[in-house]
Amino acid sequence: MDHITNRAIIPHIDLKGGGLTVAGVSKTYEAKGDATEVLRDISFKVGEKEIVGVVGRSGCGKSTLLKLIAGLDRDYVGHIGLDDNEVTGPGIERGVVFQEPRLFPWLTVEQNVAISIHETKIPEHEKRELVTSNLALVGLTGFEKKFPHQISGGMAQRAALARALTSQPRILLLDEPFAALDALTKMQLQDEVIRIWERRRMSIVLITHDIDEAIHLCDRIIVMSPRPGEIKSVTEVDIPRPRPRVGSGSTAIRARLMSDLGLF
Amino acid sequence: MGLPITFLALLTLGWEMMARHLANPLVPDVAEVGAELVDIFVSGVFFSHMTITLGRVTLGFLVAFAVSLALGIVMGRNRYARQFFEPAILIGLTVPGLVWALLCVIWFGISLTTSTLAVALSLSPPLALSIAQGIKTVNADLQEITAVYRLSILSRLRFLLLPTLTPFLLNGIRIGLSMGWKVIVLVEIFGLSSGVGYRLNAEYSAMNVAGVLAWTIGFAGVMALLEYGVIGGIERYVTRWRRVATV
Repeated sequence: MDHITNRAIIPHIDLKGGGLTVAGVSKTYEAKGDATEVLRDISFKVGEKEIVGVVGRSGCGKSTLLKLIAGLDRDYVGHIGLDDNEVTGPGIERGVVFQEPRLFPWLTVEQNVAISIHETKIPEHEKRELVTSNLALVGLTGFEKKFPHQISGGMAQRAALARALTSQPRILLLDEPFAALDALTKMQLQDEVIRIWERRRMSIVLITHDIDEAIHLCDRIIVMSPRPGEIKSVTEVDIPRPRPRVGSGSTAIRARLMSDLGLF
Repeated sequence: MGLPITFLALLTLGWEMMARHLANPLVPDVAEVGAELVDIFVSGVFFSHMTITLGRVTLGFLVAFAVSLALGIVMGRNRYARQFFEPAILIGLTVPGLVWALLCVIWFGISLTTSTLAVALSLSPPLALSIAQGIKTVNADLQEITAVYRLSILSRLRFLLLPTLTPFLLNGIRIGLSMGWKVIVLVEIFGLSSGVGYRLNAEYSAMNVAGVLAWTIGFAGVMALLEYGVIGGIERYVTRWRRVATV
């Protein structure tokens, strides 16, 4: 595969306009005098209502990248912006779902979901409506009063998704959100995310190491190579939705991604 | 429920046998102690003094709680703070409650400051230590969630810190209260003219052993009620999310 042509697909970085802009982002960890370069000159754009996947082997810095976008780590060089606003810290306009559900075990499902709008200045009844409607959206109606230990892993991850959605984010940041789930639950939740995205039409950044998942969900897939984490290629996925799980349309893309990942 | 009652019944029986065998005025029999107990309960003396003692312990406890929560969180979070305050905790743990009681009576005389400070001083070290240890168990993943959704300091305290600290707090409260009772009784013996300790001292001065025993039994009863009833109840309530999960 020719990586040079892939590189040409990297969009021109325009700092204006809606969506997420990552421009020239580099990050170096320093520990005991040793400097490790984790990210080098990462630039890409996620347009409004676009789903962009970031694929790479473990250690390529993809989760670090997501942390930077989430505003959880501000120690980097470069620019990250959302809708013309520089990212300077966490914000509820960016919903995050991690690999683990990360629910508070002492709070019920609905209390956990309400956490994301706890500091929002809107009337209580509006908060309740948001919680109820988003729990319904992820199919957790009837489980509002359950504690996290009483529900399955898949349901806990749905609750985490509902929590991220409840703050009505402009962009959803998903950090290997289905990696800990069994294959069937995983596929079910992937389709659920697409269904929700079709209703809400927010932007999504999906960090994953699962090529099939990326092809199934994303409009564009960024392949990163490790040490230091760099963008190796960008691949458009122009398969119309709903995308079939099996079919020839994805074979070429799959082959290209695998070669970019150095798998053969 | 049956076994503790059996123990108490056997204890009473044994005491009665010992009292009859010794036939000494310094070892009153069960009937004598019982009469004294009925007397202080019926006349209401017990409740008025117990309320005063309880109030003093509660006040000292609240001060200790506020101080140790702040101190414990700072120590659990910051290495330098921990190193700085560690000697204070160590000294606090080593100094007997008796010494705090004596010093407070000497310096502050017969006042609310004396009882509050003496209780707070003996309660804070174990409580702060317990909280500092609890802070280290705060889940980093959940901490990130509180950052993602920009929770205020107060909300972080409410949703993350306090629930995490609950078992440590309850443990600290248990240890603390059992120490607090001992200190408050000493303070009351040395320098106050009301409370259970004062009454114990008065009965002692009058050589009324049945009175001393009756006050002690009443006092122990209230303590047990607090421990199993109130603190146990709080514990069951705040850990219900866990209890439900294990059933």
